[in-house]
Amino acid sequence: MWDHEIRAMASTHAIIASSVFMATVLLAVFVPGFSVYGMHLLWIYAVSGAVTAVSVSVFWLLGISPPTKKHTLGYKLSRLFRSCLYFLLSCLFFHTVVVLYGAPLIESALETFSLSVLLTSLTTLRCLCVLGPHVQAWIRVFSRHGAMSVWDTALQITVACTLIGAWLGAFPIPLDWDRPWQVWPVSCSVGAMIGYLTGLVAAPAWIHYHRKHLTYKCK
Amino acid sequence: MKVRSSVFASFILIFEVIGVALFLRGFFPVPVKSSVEAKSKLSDLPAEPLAGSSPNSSRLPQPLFRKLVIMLIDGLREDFVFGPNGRLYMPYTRHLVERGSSLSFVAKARPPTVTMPRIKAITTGSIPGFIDVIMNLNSPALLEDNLIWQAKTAGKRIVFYGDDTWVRLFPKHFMEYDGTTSFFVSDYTEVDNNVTRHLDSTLKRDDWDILILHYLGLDHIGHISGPHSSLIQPKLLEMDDIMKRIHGALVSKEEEGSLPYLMVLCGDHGMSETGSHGGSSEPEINTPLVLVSPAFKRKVGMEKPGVVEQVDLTPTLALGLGLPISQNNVGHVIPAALEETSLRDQLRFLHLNGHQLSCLLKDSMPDYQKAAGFEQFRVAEKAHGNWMKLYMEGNASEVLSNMGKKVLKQYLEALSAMSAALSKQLGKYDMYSMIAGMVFVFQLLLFLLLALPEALSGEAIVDLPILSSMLSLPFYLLCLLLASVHVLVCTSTESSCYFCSLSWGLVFAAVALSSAMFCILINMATRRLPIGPKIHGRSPLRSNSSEWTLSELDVLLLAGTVGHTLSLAASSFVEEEHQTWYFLLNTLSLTVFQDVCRKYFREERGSEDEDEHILPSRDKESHPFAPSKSNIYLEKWLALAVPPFTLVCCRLLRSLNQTGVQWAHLPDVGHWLNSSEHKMVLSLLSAFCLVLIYFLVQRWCSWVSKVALALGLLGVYSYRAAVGNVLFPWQHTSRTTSR
Repeated sequence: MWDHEIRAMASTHAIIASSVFMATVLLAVFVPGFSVYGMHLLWIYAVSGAVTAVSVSVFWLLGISPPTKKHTLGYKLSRLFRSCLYFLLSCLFFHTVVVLYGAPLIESALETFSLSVLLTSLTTLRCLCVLGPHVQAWIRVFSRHGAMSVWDTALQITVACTLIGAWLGAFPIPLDWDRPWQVWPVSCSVGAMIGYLTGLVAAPAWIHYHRKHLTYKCK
Repeated sequence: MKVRSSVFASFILIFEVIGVALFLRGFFPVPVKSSVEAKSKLSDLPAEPLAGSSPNSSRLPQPLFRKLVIMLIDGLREDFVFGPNGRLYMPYTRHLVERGSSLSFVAKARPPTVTMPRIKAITTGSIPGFIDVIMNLNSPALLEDNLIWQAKTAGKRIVFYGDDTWVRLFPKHFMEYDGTTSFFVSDYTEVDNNVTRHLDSTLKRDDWDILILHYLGLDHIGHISGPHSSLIQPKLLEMDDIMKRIHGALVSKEEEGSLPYLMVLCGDHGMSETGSHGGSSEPEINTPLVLVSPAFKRKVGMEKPGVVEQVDLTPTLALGLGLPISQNNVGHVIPAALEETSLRDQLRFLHLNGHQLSCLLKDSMPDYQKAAGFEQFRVAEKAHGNWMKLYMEGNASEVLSNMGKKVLKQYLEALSAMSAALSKQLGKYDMYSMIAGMVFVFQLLLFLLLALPEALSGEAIVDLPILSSMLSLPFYLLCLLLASVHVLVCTSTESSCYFCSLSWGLVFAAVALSSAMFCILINMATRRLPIGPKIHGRSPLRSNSSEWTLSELDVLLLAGTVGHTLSLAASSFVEEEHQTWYFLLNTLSLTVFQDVCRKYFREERGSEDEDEHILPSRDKESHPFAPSKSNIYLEKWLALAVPPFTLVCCRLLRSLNQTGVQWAHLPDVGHWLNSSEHKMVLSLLSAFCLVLIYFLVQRWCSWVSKVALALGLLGVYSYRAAVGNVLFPWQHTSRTTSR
């Protein structure tokens, strides 16, 4: 039923996932003495940048964002500005949530903020790409039975996987194992990344498996 | 077969009790003791070994000490005496340790580090298990063989002042006693004065042989304000002064020619960094042990104190006083305390201790021959006999003393090996019984879960498919399997196992019951849970009508409960369990927040136009016809604000006090508030909190209780102000104006 979309989605996800790997590999090649634990912030920013760039261009090329009625330059600029604003707000939101979860308030603020940038670029950015800067539409998609296309379902799955990955990643931090990856925020960001990659793989697969049962109210 | 609910419940209850009892029997190790009532007697003591001829005398060597003073300070930590602050805290004791004729050790107390098990350990020499903690509050008389009983039987006159636990443990043992109760934990002055007031008159008199003092004040200070409080130093100085008085009195009484005195300073347990005790951390188990007597060599400087077990004190004191060692003692005598006696006496002392330990080993272990140390002891005993023969023949050469020293070394090795083997025996669990009990209890629990809806329904009848299960093939197969597992386990384990020692009939009944329950469980489960693809067919309509839909909140609560339970299996998670709680609580609040958000932001749309989906660019709008718009708004924003507020409060509470193991040392808001320069903030904060409590609680109170509440809260504040934690509003100003 949704064969075309599923194929497009699978290839999109493959491109995004490969960009994550490419960013890591390039860092490992060009930066001497690079390791994911040792230069963690660098890794976070590189991966966030790669995901941002690739997602924006791929979704723009695919053109699945909601059709806009106006095509004036001013409207487009205002959309761009609002997108950037939402991106920043979402970073702050994630930062607040992470601090509420118990991250140190002052000491490692940079690390915490980097984690929130990563989470934003893995979750909010995709919302911006797929739905545009409309909070009401976001709320609709993340409500029960609110998905209106396979892209919405895929969005739900990847966002949920990313957040669950980051959530699970926080569990080993307080334990007394003394491993390098227990340092804040390594396990959380790695967990989020693994969750995101899982989501990228799982979304097309799940939709493919359930394509007979998927019904959307309108499309 | 249909069973009435009450019958079913009583059945479950009875078997639950049996399962728990089986588990407990495995969890609490069998105490190492021959029998409770038996006491060792002087006449039972073994003769001095002598090769060749028949054993000569069974006499005990001369006692080493005439008078014994035990000063036990509750909660005395090792570093209070030996640490860098020891000079400030206990200057006289420190002087004795460094320059006097004394011996000092770090005595390791075994957990549970609670007063009564520790007293029992010191007097009996055995290691009381965790079950003794339960008895801590209501301690019955100690019936086991112990030092106090031995001393009393030998005609020693004992005087005791201090914690009344002793009086309850040893009724009618003391010639004179005055017990103080440890019930009022916040009192750390009177409790010690009540002990000290008898001291002068007692020290003047000469009609006692053993004086025991048990001071509770230090432990109380620890419980109130921790080991770094400012109250610690004056208390320890007081203790030091008492030490000085006792020592002075003993020295002045000492007569030429008679046996010397022995003075023992010890702690029953230590104190953790927060001032509590009971666990097994280093500061809790390390206690100082200082023996002062002119019989010891005079020290020339501070040495690093050696490490001994707390129970080692028991045989040392028993031998020093010329008493038989109590039967259940697992400690070995401290060799340094005997160093000044003749070689023959030293060997004799070690032989007595070794004989007692080997007897205990024989009683408590079925395969005692294999235990390390037993054989060593036999060899040493033989060598001792040979040495005695040479000694009796009048040989006094260098060879003899070298040989004696070798025997001594052999004895010491054997003693520590036997002592270690016995201690290990005490800490062993009976895993098989524990597992069997656990399986039992879990089966019953599942049973209860599955049968609950039926049992609580109107008919109150549970339908148990007993017959069909009993006649099925899996039942017999399971019976066979469990029986073979039982035989396999019981024939292969080396240690004694309670479940294996049961009679065959009982075991077979248990096996049959367990497998029958398993079959019935499976049967009921398949009947109750319609497992199949039905749940997965999820069109929105059907999933709404089906009873198996779970909201995200339900899933989270279930997963959180299960996950938390599972996490308790790992010790790393247990250490930081509070973190798990914080984490899950945060997640719950966030999920509730998301739920509320979704509800309010979705409903606006839903109530207006069900079918038309929202246009992405539409702005948020209000109801056109709301009867009480402000009311709905208020409710909405209240509902929206509560979860974030909870989250913020949780975060604040969390940073108020760092707990756990890993991050407990980090500075937190509590430290900041408690430091002296922020007393003002603390006062304001606590006043605000007390007022808040008053206003939140008073709504449901009558005016009498309102007044009582207000007075009570005022009392709390005044108490804290009197102790010095907070300030009265006028205190600051009055100080500046009046002075």
